[in-house]
This record gives sequence, C-alpha cells and structure tokens, in this order.
Amino acid sequence: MEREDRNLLTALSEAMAEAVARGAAATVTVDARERLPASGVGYAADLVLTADHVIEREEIRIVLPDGRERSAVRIGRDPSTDLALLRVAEGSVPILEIAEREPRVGQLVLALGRPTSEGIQASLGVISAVGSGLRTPWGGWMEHYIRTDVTMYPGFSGGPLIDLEGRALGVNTSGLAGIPLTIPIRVAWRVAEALAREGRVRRGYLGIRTQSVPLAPAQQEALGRAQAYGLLIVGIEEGSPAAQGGLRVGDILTAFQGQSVEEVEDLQGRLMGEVVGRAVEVEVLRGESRRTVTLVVGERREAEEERRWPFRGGPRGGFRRRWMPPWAPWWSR
Amino acid sequence: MDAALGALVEQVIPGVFRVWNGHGGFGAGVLWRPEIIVTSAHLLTRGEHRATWWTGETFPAEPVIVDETLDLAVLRLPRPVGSPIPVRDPRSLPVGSLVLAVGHPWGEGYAVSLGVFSGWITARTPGPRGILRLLRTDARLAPGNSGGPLLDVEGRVVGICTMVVGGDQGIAIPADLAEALVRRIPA
Repeated sequence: MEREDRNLLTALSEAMAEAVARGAAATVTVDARERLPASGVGYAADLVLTADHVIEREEIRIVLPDGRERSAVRIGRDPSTDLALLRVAEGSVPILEIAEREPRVGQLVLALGRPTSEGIQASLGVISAVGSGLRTPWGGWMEHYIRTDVTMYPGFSGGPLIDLEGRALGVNTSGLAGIPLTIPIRVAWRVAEALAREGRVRRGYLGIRTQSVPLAPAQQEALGRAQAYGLLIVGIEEGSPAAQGGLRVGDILTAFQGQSVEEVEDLQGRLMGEVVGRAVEVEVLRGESRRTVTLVVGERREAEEERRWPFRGGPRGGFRRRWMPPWAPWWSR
Repeated sequence: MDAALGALVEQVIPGVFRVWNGHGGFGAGVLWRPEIIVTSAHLLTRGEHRATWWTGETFPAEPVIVDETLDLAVLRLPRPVGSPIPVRDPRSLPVGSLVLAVGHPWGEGYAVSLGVFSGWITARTPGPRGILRLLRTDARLAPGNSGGPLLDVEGRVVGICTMVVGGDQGIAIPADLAEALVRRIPA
C-alpha cells in the first residue's frame, strides 16, 4: 500500500517535470532591457509574444530554448494588455501548446520563465482566483484574468502559466496591475492575432468620462423601458467624437447601438474592434427627454493617452509607471 | 498522496537534527554519515555546538570543516547515531520536480514545506571557486530552515537550505558540493 502511494508521489513529481519540459520548449529569453532579461512564448515560427513592459530598447535579442540567439523587432504592441509581438529573424521558434480547458480555481499550475542562460525556471502554485472583468489602462478590457499564488521570480514576465500537462493557460505579467497577474491564453492569443495582422488592437474612443448613476422613475418612463442605471457624462474632451456629435456634460448615456448601457464596462466592451471609425447611434437622456445622437467612433491613440495618463511618458517622465486597479493595496499605489 | 507525503516525512525525520550554536541561535542539520552532520556555516559561532536529535537526545558537535564560501559546515558527533539520509546529485533532478524542505522555521521543530525545484541560479563568490551554481526553490523557507535538507520525493537530499531572498525564494546549496566537502574529512 505504502509502496503504491510512494509511486503516486513520484509519478506526480515526474509529471510536473515533464510538463515543465513541454512548456519550456516554447519559452524563450527576451533580452531588451538593461537589467535582467525577461521571457516570451512562441506564437508562430517567426513570432514571439511577450510582455510589453519588458521591451525598453530597439535592439531585441531572443535566446531560443536550444541556446541559439536571434535578433528580433517589435511589430506590434498593446500597452492595454501589456503584450507585445516580436518578429524573429530566421524563425524556427517552437510554438506554445495552449490548454483547451478553462482555468479553474484550485487547479495546480506552474509558472515558467527563462530570464538567464541557466535554463528554464519554474514555480508551483494553484489558481487562486479567476477574476471577471478587469479594466486596464488605455481603455482596455479583459473579460477575465487569472490570479495565482505562484512565486513570480524576476524575469518571469512574458512567460507562460502552464497546467500539469504542459499546456499554456495564460501569459504572466507584473506590469499590468503592479502585482503579478496572468492574462488568459485566449485573450493573449486574440491580441497576438490582431498585432500580427495590423500591429495594434483597435479600441474605440468617444472622449467622454462617465459614471454609473441610478435612473429616476420619470427618466425610465422617458426611455419607455425599465432600466435601473445609466452613464452620467461628467466630462467631454475638446474636439472628440462626443463633442462633435453634440453630447453635453450632464447627459445620461442609456444605450449604444440600440443596446442598453448601465455600467462603464458595458460601454468599454462595445467600443472594441469593428465599431472603430463607424457612425453609431447613442441614446441619451437630457433632463427628462430622450434623444438619439449619431457619433463617429474615433480610435484611441497612444499619443493622446500619453497626454492624459501621467503614468507613462507625460511631464517629468510620469510620476508612476504602473496603473493600479481599485483593489490594489494602498502601499502599491 | 497524503499518506505518501506523511510516510516520506517520517522516513527522513531521524536524519534531521537541531543544531545549537551556544549563543541561543539554532538551525537544522542533516545526518550525512552515521557520525557526521552537515549544516550551514553561518549558524556557527566560537561557542560550544550541540546537536539535538528528534528523540530529544543531545550530543556535543565539533566543527571539522567550515567553508564560508559555500556556507557549509561539517560537524562530528562523538559516536555514530542513526542512519544517514541518502544523497542524490541534483544535476539529475529535472526542473519542476517536487521537493520538500524539512527544518525548524522560526523555531517550529520539524516543520515541512512543499515546493518545486525552480531551477539553477548562479552566484559570484569572491573566493577561488568563482561562480557557484545554486538550487532555487519556491518551497517556503524561513530562519531556522538553514542547514536543513531539501529533499526529493524519494526522500533523498538534493540540497542544503541556506537562505531566503526577497521573502519568497529559497536558495539551497547542491548536495554534491556537500558530499565533496564531507569526503575531505581526514579519516
């Protein structure tokens, strides 16, 4: 009996080492900053996906798992999800295998990184939480994110989080929220696909600041439907699509393209992808009357963001590099 | 699985000592030969050293070899005690293997922590050894784990726990270096 138990333990240990070896085959070193290099994963034979914040210079050196060195250029970046896609000269990057199953809380996972020439690094933990919905800087939106209790060693950003079969559940980064987070693999792959196609992820831009407010019965009557909340417009950027469309501070946004909008996230979600550059109809309450306004959705540009966000760029280099989510502890702000 | 881990811990506990340095400080030590204990050099002082077995029996322990660079020390007991823990060369240990650390963190006797072998790191030393390759683990270590064994799932020692970096990374000296040190003992 004890003998069998012992074999079970050995089998688990060997399975984990096997998983690490499988994940390690597609985990590369990304050397593009002064201090310790970081990690990246193979997305295609000539493409490496990594964390955007670890790219601090133009010349990027990639070290493949077998030790061969390659030079690379960044062909796209999405600061909103802290991902960057690199094109590797002379290709032959092994491609990461991704997990089919959804991540589950309590599942055993391993984080991998290859920041040094000493080979792969790994650490063990469990998925602590699968968070639903995270607003990220520059108008980004992740429908879910993964938090683990895995030790993220220095240089683990850009490396994969794998299950015990060696398949990737996500890409780790500490540059998104100030604490280590894992971007789910489906989000990461979707961003990588957009970056490979056009070098960026399109996100719509209206130029309004809003907050969710409850609607009074009279306002609901004006709408002609029961809707508990709307988005009160508290600020409008000059010359923005919202200003050109005639929206005003004090209007309450209640619907976007015929679909009701109650939370800021509802609007963020609708402003992704194809809607950029198109004319859309939004419904607003001005006082107690309902109006429909046509706007042409703009595209978020980083140049504009640099002006607005003091965190990166900005005057005096920005007072704080990282954006913090509301639940981040006070000492990390 | 639980039973296997329990059996594993029971199997190695007779090979783990508490090492007292005569100044109130203590850590752990690994029985390497029937009368030889390997521990961390930073535990030692000029005082009298004692080693306490899991039974509570205490022996005087005399430092035979102290290597500050490796942070390893070899102590000799007055007579052979118990059976030593077998040794595994960590170079045969794949990254991601389960490891256990046994020691006395914060004075808690024979506490066990579980983690994986995270990989190799290098450390530059001022001495003639130059660059050392050390084991990194995510098993939770604390003061009191120093000198204790890092074990594989078969109960073989792969390293000697030495220090904690940044609160969450444990560093261990490879067991093959400790073995080489023990072999230098004059007969």
